Amino acid sequence: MDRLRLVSVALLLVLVSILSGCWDHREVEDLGIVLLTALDLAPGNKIRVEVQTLVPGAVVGGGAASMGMGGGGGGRKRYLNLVAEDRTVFEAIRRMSLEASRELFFAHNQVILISEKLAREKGVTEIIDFFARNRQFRRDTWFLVVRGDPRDIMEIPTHLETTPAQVIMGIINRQDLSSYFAPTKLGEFIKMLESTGIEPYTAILQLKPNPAFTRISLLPGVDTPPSLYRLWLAGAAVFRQGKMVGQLSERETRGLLWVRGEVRGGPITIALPASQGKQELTMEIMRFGRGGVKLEPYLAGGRLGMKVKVSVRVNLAESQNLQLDLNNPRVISRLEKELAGVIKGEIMACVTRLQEEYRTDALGFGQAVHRKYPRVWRQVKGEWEDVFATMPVAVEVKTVIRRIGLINNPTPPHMLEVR
Amino acid sequence: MFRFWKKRTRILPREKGNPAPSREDYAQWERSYEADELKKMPLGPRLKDNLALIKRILGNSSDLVIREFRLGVDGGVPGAVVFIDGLTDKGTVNDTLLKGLTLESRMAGLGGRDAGNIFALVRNFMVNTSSVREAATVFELLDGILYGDAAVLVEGETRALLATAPGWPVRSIEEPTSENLVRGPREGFTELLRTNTSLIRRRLRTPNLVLERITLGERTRTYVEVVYIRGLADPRLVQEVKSRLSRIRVDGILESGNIEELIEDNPYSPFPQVFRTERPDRVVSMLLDGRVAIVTDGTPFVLVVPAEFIVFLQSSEDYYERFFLAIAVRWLRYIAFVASLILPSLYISLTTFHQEMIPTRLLISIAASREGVPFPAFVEAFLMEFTFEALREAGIRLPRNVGQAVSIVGALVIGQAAVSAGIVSSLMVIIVALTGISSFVAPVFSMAITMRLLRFPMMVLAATLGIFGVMMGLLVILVHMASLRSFGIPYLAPLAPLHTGDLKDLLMRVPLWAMDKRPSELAKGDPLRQEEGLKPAPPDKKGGQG
Repeated sequence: MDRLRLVSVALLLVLVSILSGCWDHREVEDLGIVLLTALDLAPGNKIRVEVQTLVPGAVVGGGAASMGMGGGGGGRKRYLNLVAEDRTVFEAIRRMSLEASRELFFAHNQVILISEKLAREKGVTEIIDFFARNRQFRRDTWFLVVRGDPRDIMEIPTHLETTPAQVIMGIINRQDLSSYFAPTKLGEFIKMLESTGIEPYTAILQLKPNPAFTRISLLPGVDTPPSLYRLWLAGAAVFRQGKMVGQLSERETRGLLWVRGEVRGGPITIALPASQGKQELTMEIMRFGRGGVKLEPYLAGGRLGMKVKVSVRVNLAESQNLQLDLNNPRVISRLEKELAGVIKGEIMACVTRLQEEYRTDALGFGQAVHRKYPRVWRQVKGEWEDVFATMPVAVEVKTVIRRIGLINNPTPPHMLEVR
Repeated sequence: MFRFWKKRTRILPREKGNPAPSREDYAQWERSYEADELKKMPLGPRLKDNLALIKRILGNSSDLVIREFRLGVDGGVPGAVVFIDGLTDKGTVNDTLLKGLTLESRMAGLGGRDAGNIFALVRNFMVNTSSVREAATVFELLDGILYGDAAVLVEGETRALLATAPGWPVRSIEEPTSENLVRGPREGFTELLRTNTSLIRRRLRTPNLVLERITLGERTRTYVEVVYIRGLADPRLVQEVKSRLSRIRVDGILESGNIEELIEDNPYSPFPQVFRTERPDRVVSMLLDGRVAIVTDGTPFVLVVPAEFIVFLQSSEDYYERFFLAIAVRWLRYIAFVASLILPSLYISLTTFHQEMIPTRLLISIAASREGVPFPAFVEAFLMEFTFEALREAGIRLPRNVGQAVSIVGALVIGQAAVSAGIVSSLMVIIVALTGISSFVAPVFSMAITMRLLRFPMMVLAATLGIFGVMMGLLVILVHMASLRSFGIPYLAPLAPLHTGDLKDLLMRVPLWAMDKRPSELAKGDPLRQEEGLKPAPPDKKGGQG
């Protein structure tokens, strides 16, 4: 009797687990893996949601289905774009299930795109709630602003990568080679959005005519002509009160990144007088990071000011100036001084633009003040926009040239050797 | 299992003075004789009666040889040599027994005057084998004959002489097939008990090596030796082993596996709690830990107790190769061990519940390879694992030449055809292959089987509850393992009651010169294995040594 009871209990346990288990079971092949989500403003105060899902069978050759058929998935398109409009983001996404054969799965979403129109007119505060609340979206998804219609970007032909989403990811991952744009992750964006003393910013994605395109490409015999347009990430969109208020140029963006301590590399060029007017030298910024910058607010006569201290190390990458004797330490220190001036110029350009034109504190000066003068901060918090716009900013840059490359002095043509 | 064969027939009073077989005698030929009954049966003074009795009890079997002769001069005293053809060496019987008994007794002039003394004379002067025993009862006599002894019976004696002259067929010592080593002795145990104990004894010349014989199996009467090193093995452990063995009352012991099942601590556990090996060197190293070995006649597999979990993941080669390699191989084994348990279930749970945990690119290729597969991942995995296990089983049982054909067919059918037909995904094939390879890494087959079995419930758990289920399964297994004991030693021994000192032989394998203590759960009497300071170093140059 005892054994019977034991067996029946065991059986019940197994049955219970089978009954209750599996309810959220879904196979990989039933998922529409979304790589990119874009939001746009639609007529009638609606939100247009556009997603890019991957077609796995077309991406990877050698799958079970394609193996007998020569592999490679043939010429199938490798992604599928879905568009739906509704009043809320979630509603629109669910509306897509009316036309998609697979359940959309956002856990692998790489990029969220917000159209400039939406960002400027409606602002991001309302729509970002969904992304923060939903458990599938990751906090490290890139959050970008798109100039123009996101649908264009989602259909851009790709060659190296599989989908436009991966092209965007690739460009962002190589940001450290230029530091000319300032992308922000969803989590970081939300954090900047909800905290006082800093306003969010992010990079702008846009289409740009493809300079590699030539008329020759269109002649018969050319395999696949290059596309007319290329994806291009540039500058930064700055926000105030959750709405986009303007954009920074490449130079200003790097100024912003210097202050935020997020420059990870990139070229920087200075010009020095030579025989034929000024000639350029380009330095490569070495990993800079948050430790290289110090924000030091100060109080002078009851007025808040800000001192920005930057110290950076660079390598000489190219010198077109043939007259410089790079073996001479004094020449090097002259270069360093020159370089400091350029960096200071970048930072000041950004500060001026933000103070005078957009009146928004994307630099995080408010947070620095809050940290150093909490009492003062409480007083100025309400009118920080005005205080920021008028506060004096001093920039102090220290630069060190670490290495000058494989050769010391430029190789001069023998004409100049006489000198 | 075979109990119902045993008919307890009552003993009938033997009729005296009537040697001609009667109806009752025929009836007796057809009945069986029990050990208890035979033990009570003494040998009679009349040779004829005794021989008739032996014949009757053995059912007049065709391999029973009775050679009658006469002892000494003047017509002599009747005697007989009784043995089983095939078990006893005929040459030995001829040269040392019959020669002495017939020729030398005549030369010694043995005659009627020696009547009362004859047995002692035979024993002391005429039987030239090295080992001689006396048997007083029919039981002892038969027990000896059936083991391979030759019995000498003499008219007028109620005792018989048992001379050892084994001549049974033996297999020579070969390399053990189930535990191959690259470096290490090539000798393996054979089916013969004496050979096996000699292999152990030859490696352990200490006088403290003790062998204690126990006979198990009411019908097979298999000899079993309990082997241990006095002073190292805990006396209570030895006592426990002996008492567990003596509790065994079965019909037959055909393999040490029969014993294992009858003495293990928890018969319902999927985990083996008794170690078994074919290698004498492994047995010796475990004896030196303070364990007890059980050598069974008729099988090359020697049991060793207690056996905690980690013993099953160690190979004797770990101690023969230099320790760097041993550590690396050991960790490889640990990882493969875990993989063989949870790899398919992990795959199932990740692909059916937790797709967000898979790196994007991997997810894409998984999704692509599963495109068009008609089964859910669980069914797919189950199908493949089933096929793999069937293939493995087929490969083992079949003759070697056919076995290869099976593996070719299997590889083709599973690997190629199934994938290209779109029935299974190529990734699943990889998973199954990885699992299969991992399960072969376990050095002891019995532990590999355990993992193989547990894999299936784990897969069910993964398919129903995802990672949560897998973790539950692992937890249940862990709790069960922690509750297990092998002859009083906790199964997770150096880990679960943590003995940090013993971790040197678990997390890594420290060099031999640093392994100065025995496992602390064992060998409590003599914990020190060797002196400290054995680390080799070049001679000190300043000291002027060369």
